[in-house]
Amino acid sequence: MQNLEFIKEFIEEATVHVETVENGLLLFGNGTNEPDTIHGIFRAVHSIKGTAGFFGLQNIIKIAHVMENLLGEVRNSNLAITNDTVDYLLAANDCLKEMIVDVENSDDRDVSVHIENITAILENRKPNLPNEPAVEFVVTDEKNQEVLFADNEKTIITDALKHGHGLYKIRLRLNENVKANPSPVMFFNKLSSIGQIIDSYTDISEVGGLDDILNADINFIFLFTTVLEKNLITLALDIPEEDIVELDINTKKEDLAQILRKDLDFSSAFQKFDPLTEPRQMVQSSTGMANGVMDHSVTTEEMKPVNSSSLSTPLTASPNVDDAGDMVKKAQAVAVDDTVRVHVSLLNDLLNLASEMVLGRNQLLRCLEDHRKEIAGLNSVLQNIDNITTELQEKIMQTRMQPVAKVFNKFPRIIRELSKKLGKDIDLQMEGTEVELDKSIIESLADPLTHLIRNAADHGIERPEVRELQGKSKTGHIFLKAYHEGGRVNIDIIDDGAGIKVEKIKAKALERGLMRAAEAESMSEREILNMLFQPGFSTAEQVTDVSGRGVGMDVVKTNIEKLGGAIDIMTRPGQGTTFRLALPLTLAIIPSLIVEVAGQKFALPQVNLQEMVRIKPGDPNRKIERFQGAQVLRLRGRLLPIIHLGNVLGLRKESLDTTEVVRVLVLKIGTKQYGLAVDAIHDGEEILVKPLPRYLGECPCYSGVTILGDGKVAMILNPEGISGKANLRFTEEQRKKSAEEEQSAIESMAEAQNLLLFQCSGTETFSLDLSMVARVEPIQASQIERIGEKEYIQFRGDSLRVIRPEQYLPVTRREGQPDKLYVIIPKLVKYPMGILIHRIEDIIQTRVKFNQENIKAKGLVGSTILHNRIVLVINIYDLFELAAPEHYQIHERHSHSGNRRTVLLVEDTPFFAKMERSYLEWAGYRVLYGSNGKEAWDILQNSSVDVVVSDIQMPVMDGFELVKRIRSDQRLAPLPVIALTSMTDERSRQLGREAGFDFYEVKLDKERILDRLEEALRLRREAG
Amino acid sequence: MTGKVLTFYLGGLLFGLDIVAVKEIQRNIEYTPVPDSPAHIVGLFNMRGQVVTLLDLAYLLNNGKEPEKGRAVCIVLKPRAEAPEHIGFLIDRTGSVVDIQDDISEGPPANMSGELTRFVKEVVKLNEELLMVIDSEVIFEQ
Repeated sequence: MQNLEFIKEFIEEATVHVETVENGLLLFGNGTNEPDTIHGIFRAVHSIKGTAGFFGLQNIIKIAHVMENLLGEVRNSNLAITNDTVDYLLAANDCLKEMIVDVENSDDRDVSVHIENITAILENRKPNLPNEPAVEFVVTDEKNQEVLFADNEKTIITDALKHGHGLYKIRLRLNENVKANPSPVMFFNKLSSIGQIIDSYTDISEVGGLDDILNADINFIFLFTTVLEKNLITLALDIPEEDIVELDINTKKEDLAQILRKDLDFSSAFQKFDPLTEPRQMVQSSTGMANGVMDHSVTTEEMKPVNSSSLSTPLTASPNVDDAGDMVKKAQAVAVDDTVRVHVSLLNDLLNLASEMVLGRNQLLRCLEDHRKEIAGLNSVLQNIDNITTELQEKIMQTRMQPVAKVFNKFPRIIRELSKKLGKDIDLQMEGTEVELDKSIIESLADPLTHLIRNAADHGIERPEVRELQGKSKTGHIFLKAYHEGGRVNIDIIDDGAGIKVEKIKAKALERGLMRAAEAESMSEREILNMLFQPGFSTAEQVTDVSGRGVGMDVVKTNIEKLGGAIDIMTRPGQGTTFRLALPLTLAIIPSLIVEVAGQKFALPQVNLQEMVRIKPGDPNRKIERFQGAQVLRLRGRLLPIIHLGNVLGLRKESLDTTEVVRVLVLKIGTKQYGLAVDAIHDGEEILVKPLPRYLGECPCYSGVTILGDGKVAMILNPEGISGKANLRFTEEQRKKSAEEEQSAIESMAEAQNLLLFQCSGTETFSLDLSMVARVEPIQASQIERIGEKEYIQFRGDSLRVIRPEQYLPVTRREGQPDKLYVIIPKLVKYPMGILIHRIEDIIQTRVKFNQENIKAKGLVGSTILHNRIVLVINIYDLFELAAPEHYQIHERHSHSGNRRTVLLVEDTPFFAKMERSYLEWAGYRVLYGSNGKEAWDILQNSSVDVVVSDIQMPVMDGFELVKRIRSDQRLAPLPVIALTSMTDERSRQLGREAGFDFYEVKLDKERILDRLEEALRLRREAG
Repeated sequence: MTGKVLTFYLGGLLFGLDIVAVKEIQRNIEYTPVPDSPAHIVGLFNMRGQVVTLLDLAYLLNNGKEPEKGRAVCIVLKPRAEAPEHIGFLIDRTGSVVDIQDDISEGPPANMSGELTRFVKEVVKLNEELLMVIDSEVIFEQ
């Protein structure tokens, strides 16, 4: 049992070491030749060999030994490292890796190939390099017998002597000495932390196998150099003094130390001691310098985990510390390992406790709130607890985070091998390797990322000769970038290869029968690119053994989505492709909606939530109908099956009561869609997902449990399981149909607007598009203060002017006002003012059809009929201009700025189209109009246009797609295109710029738009 | 057996549990019922961030009697190494801790009902009444 644990520890440890070796070797492959790197590799191999010795793992020792010899030569500059050398070493390292994973059978492997290869390199040393340095010392043991060393070992000894170290032979009796130490691995680490191990050997001939290694009384012999005196080693290693033998070296180390102290020039000091050839000196002096530096910064060195084998030089103690007491302290400090392996379950427990502590803190603060002033000193104590708790939670969250470097690090190797295999020259650059993600995400990211990287190398990057023909650099570039964006982590895989040919995907999809020709015509570029993620799709002209086997992209997509992430493709023909993975920081926390049934709260993951529908009894537009015992809702022209969560869970017997308000959550799983009725809908909450307790058995309706903000446990609903439990049968046909209908639903959604209906003092009903409303605040009439002619309210610590629309519009006005009023706070305007209204009537989603223009006035867009009533649609910009002309005077200069130039306005919402059109025409532009990208594209083919102003989110073809088409069309490419959108986030802006928009403007600042138009036209003129 | 036993009342009967198996007693807990779960599951509750599954021991013992309404008191068992999730069960009220020796305890009588014999490891002959010591291992098997 204990044996197994030691071996497990060895495997963990050695795995880290082989990784260090691999990363280091790859750095060499890239031409980096830092002495630190080679030291790091050397030390890692050395450690593997040393610990493997404990277990008598002959093959591992053999390989590590030859690797060590070769690396030793490289380290001493006796051997130049070539790409071939790196390849052989990598191959040997791979072999080591495999053997470490399968330690039990490692000795059955044939490792002779690697040993021969490396020995061959060693033997074929270039003759012009100096031969073995003549190290002039003889080491004798207690019986005065000479101890023989390998050449690289001699180097260590000379190095050590230079620093005034002693040379010791240490005998470790496994059964006795190791008991004092947790394990042989720990002992080895301890040993290497206080000095340097030159060699270790053991007589294992009596050991039958792995199992009895630790039972047999075996002696391990270490040859070891350290600055410590014999008695101090005893203390530091906790082994009896008789097991340590000081070896006699025939060089007077006192003299050496003297020289070293007198003269800081290490190389000249060294020459006195041992005249060596030039290149050798360089290395020696640089190691000497490195050690010198370390002496001054020994505290920072100590901070590094000793066993991490990071690329640091071996830690040797300083020569100028000669106070024995200090040395012991130091040796102990160094021996303390500052990383601890902790089981993930413990971290999870900590995370739980921290969340619980936050709840406790909240309760405490609430309870003591009233006593803050009464009890002296309480306030500061509470604040302290508050801060510490928050910080504690954050820190604990961090413990589960790991840098993406963990995944990224294997890609240099993959690219190196792929470029060889494919005969391409590929350069991989990585950025943001320090970006951290939750452990579980990091782990599941390896496969999808590897797939994308392989794809980029195989399909993306062209062959060198093709690249040259196209005027690109022969070397292809793949750029792997991780960065934070809006609470998520994005990983971009960017190649500068051929890009993805949309036509080719189309053809392939048609050929495979994945879509019909008619469909293909109407599909946007984005939709076609998404075909790549269909199962069984591959466009590689030739199937190589690297990629193109027709599996994968769908799996990549599924895997990424399983993590709660998304994948996106951006491509430009001839210029390259970008795959963007957007990932949540942590898996465990998901956004959810809290719903209630029969007084009990449940959490519903928002991933599956499509929309929420509130059905009032007697609403003719939305009602739940019943037929054949089933209840359905007509939602945008199709039937949505409705089930009540209470019925599914057995919390209620009676069926849905349609005489009361019914709240329906429209859920979507894949292509299946159904409505889940609940009693109440509460807020959204970010929840920490915990697995279902095992004791619950099979509960298909739940996917987990969580603890809500109030400290109570809530079940997390599983929409898939609920539909199964409710026996919802979705037929194949339904699915297909729903996919089609979904498209039309999206289209109708895109055109529909959310309107806020309200009334002022008169009888007229007004409406305002919700996208322009920041919020609606209820106020008391007494809060309105008059200053001169104008009225103000206090809003968020500032004064806000409020206006009454009836004062500026040709509508009825009545004196007197109710006590309670509302203020609409608008957004997307430059000079905000509140709109004072008397009553909020409703919020409705509708497609506005403007009536014949018989109600015309400045401040109104027009009129429409809703609920059998005339509703006046307010033009907020005109209204504000009427109310505060001083802010809007300047733009008079814009009138006639259009100068009869032609603008193509692309906008799907009639309301915005109408307003934008009015501005443009006011400024003297001739306006052509397209209601989506496709219409606009057709207009562009037939008419001459000076500038395009386009919305982004539109049905059929969106703004991104339109601008991409314009930019890739030779004739149209120079056309200025301005995006006009309500998507104000930075990501959309960036996407917009990437897609090729000249300007990205937010709806609907009249003045800015006109400014931008002029600027865009001027720039084009200048460029032309 | 010999050792300390925590006694408690459930459905009017006196039961006991080897104190080594008990993690803690929780009073005034607010638990969340789990609709559509097995009948012997009462619900889940939050014990310092750990979700504890509450079993209905009375139901399992086929005791018939409903547990006394009112404050929910429960005994939380120490999780076993191979199953780190916590479980607990509702009781009516706690009794005390009694020392028992082998000489006052014996196996369940032959005429005890079938369900009870599954759970009851031993019967302890206290001075006033009989104490049924429950085998916590059997609870974990639910």
